[in-house]
Amino acid sequence: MTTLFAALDFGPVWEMRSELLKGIGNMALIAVVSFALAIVGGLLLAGMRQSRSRPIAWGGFLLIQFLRGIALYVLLLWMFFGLASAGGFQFQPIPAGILALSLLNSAYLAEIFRAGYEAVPTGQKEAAMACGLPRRTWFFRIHLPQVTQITLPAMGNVFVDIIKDTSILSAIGVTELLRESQRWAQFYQLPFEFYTAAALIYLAIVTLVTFGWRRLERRAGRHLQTQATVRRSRSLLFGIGARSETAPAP
Amino acid sequence: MIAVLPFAFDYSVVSEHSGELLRGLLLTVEVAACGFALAAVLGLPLALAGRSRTPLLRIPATMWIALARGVPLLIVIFWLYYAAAQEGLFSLTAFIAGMLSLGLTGSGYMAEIYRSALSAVPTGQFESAAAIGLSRAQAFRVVILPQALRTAIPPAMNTFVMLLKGATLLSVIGLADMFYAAKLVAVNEFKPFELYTAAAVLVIAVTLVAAIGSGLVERRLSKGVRR
Amino acid sequence: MSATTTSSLLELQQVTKQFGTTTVLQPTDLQVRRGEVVCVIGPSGSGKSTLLRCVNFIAPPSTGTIVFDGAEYKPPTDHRWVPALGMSEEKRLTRLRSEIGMVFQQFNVFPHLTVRENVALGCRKTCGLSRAQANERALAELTRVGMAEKADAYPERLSGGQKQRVAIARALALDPKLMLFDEATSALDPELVNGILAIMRELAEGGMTMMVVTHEMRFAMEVADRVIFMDRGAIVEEGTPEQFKAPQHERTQTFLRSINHG
Ligand SMILES: Nc1ncnc2c1ncn2[C@@H]1O[C@H](COP(=O)(O)OP(=O)(O)O)[C@@H](O)[C@H]1O
Ligand SMILES: [Mg+2]
Repeated sequence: MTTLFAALDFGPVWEMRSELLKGIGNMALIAVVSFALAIVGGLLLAGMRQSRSRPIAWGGFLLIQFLRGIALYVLLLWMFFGLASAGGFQFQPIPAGILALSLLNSAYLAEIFRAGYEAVPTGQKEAAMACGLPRRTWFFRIHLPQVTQITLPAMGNVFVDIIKDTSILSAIGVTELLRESQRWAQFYQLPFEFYTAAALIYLAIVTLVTFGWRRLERRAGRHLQTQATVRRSRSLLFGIGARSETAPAP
Repeated sequence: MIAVLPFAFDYSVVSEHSGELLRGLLLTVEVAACGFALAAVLGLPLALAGRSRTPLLRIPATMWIALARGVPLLIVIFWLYYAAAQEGLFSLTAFIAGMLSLGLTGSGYMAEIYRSALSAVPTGQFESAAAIGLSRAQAFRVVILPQALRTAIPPAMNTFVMLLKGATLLSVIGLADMFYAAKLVAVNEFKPFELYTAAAVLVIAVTLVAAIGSGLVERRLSKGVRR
Repeated sequence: MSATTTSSLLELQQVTKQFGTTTVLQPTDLQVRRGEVVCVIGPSGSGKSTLLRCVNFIAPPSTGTIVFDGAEYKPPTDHRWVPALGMSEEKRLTRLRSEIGMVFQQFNVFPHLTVRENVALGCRKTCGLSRAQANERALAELTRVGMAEKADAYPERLSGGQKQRVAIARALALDPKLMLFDEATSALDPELVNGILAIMRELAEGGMTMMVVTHEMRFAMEVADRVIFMDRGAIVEEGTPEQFKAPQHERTQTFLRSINHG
């Protein structure tokens, strides 16, 4: 064991910090843009699913189910090597990655939005109507804030998943963190050091984002009595996005 | 979508190599199933340790879960396959490395699923089990766990779908799955579109079946509860 | 069926309600005079809530006409394909609803708004008050129900009785001509019931027109001008509280007996 750790050499990792940092920057850019686009796509899909017109609702349902069944790596390979070679054109890696990430995650978000939409008690709408509030006021002042509150934890999970999934974009040559680590791991012949560093950096980023998101949730839910603080502080460490995919009932 | 594209789709390449593709697909499903089994087995003690009152159990379990959920699968794969071998820790075949990385990553998710399923069992159940004279261990085994496992099934199936998707990554360490086969054939025959499409359709079919199956099971189980 | 008289504030003419193929409300006629307090009683599932929801079009009736304050309201047409066509109709119903206050069994206060905002929101959006005016108005209503000191709290921190007070204040803030109470005390702990009933009693004495669904028979007997007994989606018997001491109908007798000895 001592010989093992004596042999470790993290010097090159530190030397290559600016390269790795560039990878992190790319990752952040891709994750944020993909998340934003996925929210838009998720709203569209959820809207289709709620549509009064049967064909549109069914189309939305099928599209969501289909996208949920697709693995990101499969889609990337197909787009990048299959489709591109057949069409005689070449995707740029970063736009292709963003497209795939946002497409697949919009399906998850659509399900989350729908669950959140339905999780608001019907009494809220009835009360809003009984108060003579116009539909618009009901939607923006009563319904949307509660849907946001309900869906926020699950949305955080999707964001964390997107961050983690940017690592898969290394397969199509996006120079994000993993790609950089891979390159230098091969260059220095130090896979252990570089991959361990990459893993720890990812862990740190995911933990930070989770903390930040929790603060956001608490801000959005400040009208709620704080749940037992002990549980919360424990789950901070415990749950890297501890909650399940579906929105919790209020 | 295929019909829209302005060129012919050459089915013959696909049918010629369907054996290799299917064998690759089977390997993906196998490695995912093994990884899921590992995750399901590891998850329960992890969840229990995470709920434990002694920090001695709780802290390591908590850190394990944080690691499993915080580190991307692809990095775990690389780490287990390349990094560990380089340091002379152990050297794994692609299949074992794949299974382990899926199992370790999945264990974090499964632990969370067990944990929330356990805490979803009403405390009254423990109390009434105690009232009929069961010990804590008995109550857990006969009353709490069966109820918790029932709630855990649908999200566990989602985890399986997730691992199945993750298993497609394993061609990067040379697991001979369908993308590996597709890549080889595509290079030889110069028909990448057909082969990648076929591979994609195959794996999507499997994940879709699994995803729809989990949806059905979920509906079935929730019906049982309502009844 | 008489023609609309000036003294009747609300009139239901052959109002029915279906959910899919099941009829929840049989054709119903009903008149409520200004200042009258009508108590609706009946077993659970008999359509009492549905009747109240039809009155303010939260659950629009399937057929029939409702005349409120001299204006006629019919079941709205469902503009499935071009919802914009329903806009003017929707606006008219929104106006109607702002003239009718409703209090629910489950309170239905808005959890993400403070007590004051809960009350003020309706004033701002329907009476066109400014934010300051609406807040002032909200505070006045909250004082009336004894909730002024909780104005800046969020509903989550309140007891059931306090939430219901907020809900009443919210309904009263719009200065409604008619108040609907749907089992306003059924979800409350027993010791909180009387506080809410006292507020309702005060309202009734102040001349408010009210339709009250309740299981509190003593309240009904003392406050109601008229009692209505509903069963299986129809009005079975109606009369003064005096008359309800010796009900004519067998179903009414059974129901009252089950309540008194239950
Ligand atoms: N949205 C709805 N869809 C279908 N049936 C409903 C709906 N709302 C109420 N009902 C049915 O209408 C009947 C009367 O309900 P309700 O008016 O709530 O009764 P009450 O308030 O007297 O207890 C019940 O049998 C109930 O199941
Ligand atoms: Mg009711």
